[in-house]
Amino acid sequence: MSNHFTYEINERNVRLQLKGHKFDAKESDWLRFQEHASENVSFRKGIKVADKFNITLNRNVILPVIFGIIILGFSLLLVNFMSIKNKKNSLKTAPAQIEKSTGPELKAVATPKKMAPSLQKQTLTTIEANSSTDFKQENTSINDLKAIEIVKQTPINKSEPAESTTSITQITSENLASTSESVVDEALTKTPEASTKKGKNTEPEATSSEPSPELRSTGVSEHQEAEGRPE
Amino acid sequence: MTPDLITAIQKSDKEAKRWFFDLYFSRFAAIAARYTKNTVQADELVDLAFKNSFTKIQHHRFDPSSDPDIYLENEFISECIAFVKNIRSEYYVSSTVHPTANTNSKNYNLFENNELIDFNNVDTLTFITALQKMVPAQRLAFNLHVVDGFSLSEVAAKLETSEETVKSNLEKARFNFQKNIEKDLKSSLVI
Repeated sequence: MSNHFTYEINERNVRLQLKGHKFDAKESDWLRFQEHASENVSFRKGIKVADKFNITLNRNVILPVIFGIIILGFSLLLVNFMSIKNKKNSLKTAPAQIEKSTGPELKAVATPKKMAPSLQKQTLTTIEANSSTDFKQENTSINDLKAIEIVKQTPINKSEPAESTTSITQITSENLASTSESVVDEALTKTPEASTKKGKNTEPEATSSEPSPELRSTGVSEHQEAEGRPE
Repeated sequence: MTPDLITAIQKSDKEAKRWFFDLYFSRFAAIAARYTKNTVQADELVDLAFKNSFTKIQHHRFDPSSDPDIYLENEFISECIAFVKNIRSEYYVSSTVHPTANTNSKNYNLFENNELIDFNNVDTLTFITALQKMVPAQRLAFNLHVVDGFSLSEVAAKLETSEETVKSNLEKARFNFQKNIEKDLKSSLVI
């Protein structure tokens, strides 16, 4: 504002003039007002419904809701990490897991890797033929193990391959005939339920018939001699 | 305004509303013209004021205990204040800017019309245009104190500001009001 300003307006005159001033009412003004009123009718209905509930969304409402959501989210995350389970279910599932775990180990042991396929077939057939007891299926894995051991222990003459193979098969068949009985008896002694079922029919006879490794070796030589092999 | 008219408006009678509109439009339009910055805002304000007054009458919130005309005028003035203050982009932003142009620039035009202006014989429309050119805060202060006759404390209470602010705005408003009239009259003389 400049310093040389002098207010020259008579305010009383201004007041009288402005107070006395009037605009004439026109038809267009009334129509415009009606349009304005009709436009806001639908909007007003919505406001009336909102006024009944009287919900005020301010800082005091929004912030606690946000914090609550954050806390719930973290708690859900923690629960997911914890993985709490019922004890009953765990006890029920535990034996099944043990059985599953033991099964493949036995199979892996039973599978002979170093044995020739032809010999393996023969040994298996002999075991099946000689084992007349009902525990054939139960103790197949044990029989297999024994057969593998016997095959390993049998000496093979490399100088005479044709005869040696035939002799090995015969020896193994004989030895297995004796060992199968002993193996079955061992299995019976280990399983008390089976022994009670079968009773005295499966009395241990093979304890004396099971040859020691020394005897086996001698047995092989004697058999070879009996065949009358030319030396 | 008779009780029959009020009851007719309460029953949402169109004829009664039209009669009420014609009765108060001229006064409300004049008030709206000096409180707003242009005719568009003035028309909007008048429509809003009539709509609010109809709703008040229909919901029995209309209480003309002393004089219905004075009551309606006061209600309309408060509507005007709310309307102007609600246009925040104008009310808060432009009020911080100095309203007048750069006065330091000297005019060396010797042929300029230097006739003295008689402020007592100024047209009403010139006053209204001079008011409309002012900043909203100054316009409100000038209208409320000078034209409508409210005291400074009343104006401060209505505008929800301090008396010092009202005084400051009023001083600036007086200066700008006179300058706007001068400019308007000089431009009309040149044309």
